[in-house]
Amino acid sequence: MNQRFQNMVKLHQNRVYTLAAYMLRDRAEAEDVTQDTYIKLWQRMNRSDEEVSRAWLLRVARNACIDRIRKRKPITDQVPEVGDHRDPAFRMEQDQLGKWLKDAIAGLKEPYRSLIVFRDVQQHSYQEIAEMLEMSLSQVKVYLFRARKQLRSKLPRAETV
Amino acid sequence: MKNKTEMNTQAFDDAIEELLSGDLNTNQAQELQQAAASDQAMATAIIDAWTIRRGLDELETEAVPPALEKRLLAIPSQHAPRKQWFAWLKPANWQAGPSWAIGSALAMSLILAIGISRQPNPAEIQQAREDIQVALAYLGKSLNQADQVTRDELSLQVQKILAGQQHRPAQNIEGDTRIEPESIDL
Repeated sequence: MNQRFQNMVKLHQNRVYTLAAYMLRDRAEAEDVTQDTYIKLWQRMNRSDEEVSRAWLLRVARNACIDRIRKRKPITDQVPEVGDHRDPAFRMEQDQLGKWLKDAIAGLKEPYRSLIVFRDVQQHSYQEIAEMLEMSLSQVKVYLFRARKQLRSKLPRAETV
Repeated sequence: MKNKTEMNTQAFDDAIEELLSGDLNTNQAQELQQAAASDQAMATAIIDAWTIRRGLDELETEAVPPALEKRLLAIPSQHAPRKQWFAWLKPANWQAGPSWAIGSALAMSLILAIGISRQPNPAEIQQAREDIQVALAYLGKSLNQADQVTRDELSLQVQKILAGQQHRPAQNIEGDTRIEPESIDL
């Protein structure tokens, strides 16, 4: 059993940590969530012989993140600041875009935030996302579409400022 | 293709997402591009959507810090498994009990199973009665032995305590008052 646990750590730790890091935008909290998730995994593996899937692991991690986010200040729908985009020649560089996107993703509401991380960052299949979020395939596609649209609407552009 | 002002907003957004996902066929994609060429709002929306997709594609997964990985791998040694009320039913946990009790229980269940599964003849019944008497006698003897061992051990411990108290006077708070050991009735 210990060996199975070690394999689960090696195989999925980065996915769990990435999900938490993107959702919480706080490394210390992401580490806590990752550790708590694996403690739950270990306890579950002791309780039953039922196979624990990657989807289960990520679902637990996501729920832990949501709990932490709820305990924070109320969500504000603010657009992250990026550089000085009053400059007409403003154009986001890749690094800047990446940072802006991370903040913007963290600013999305659920389930949009998780969907973007699962699909666009971690490249999970629609089917696996549906399993993790307990949604239908069509719901996954619709919500993902809305999530991207929200990101697009927040994108700062020189001509709009 | 209609321009943005003529198109339903939802259909317009859908078309952009489909374009970026590669879900539009060549003709549909060309139509959208041609429409965007004469519609500034549409062109801007496509560029924005493409910028977002490009940025998302570049986002990388985060690697777990080495210290965290160590903590994760140490979880089994630091978190004892939760016990459940039915855990004793699992064969793996039978080793914790006394082997003679498990042996007796298994033998008894076997006898019952045989007894339930078919009708025995009188000779077998007689034999089973004798076997059960032998088993019960053995069980009683084992219990007596265990009981005797316990009593002997207890007696020895009490004797040791009494002997210790006779040689080493106990003191109360005031200092020098000797306390006589009480007699213990075994």
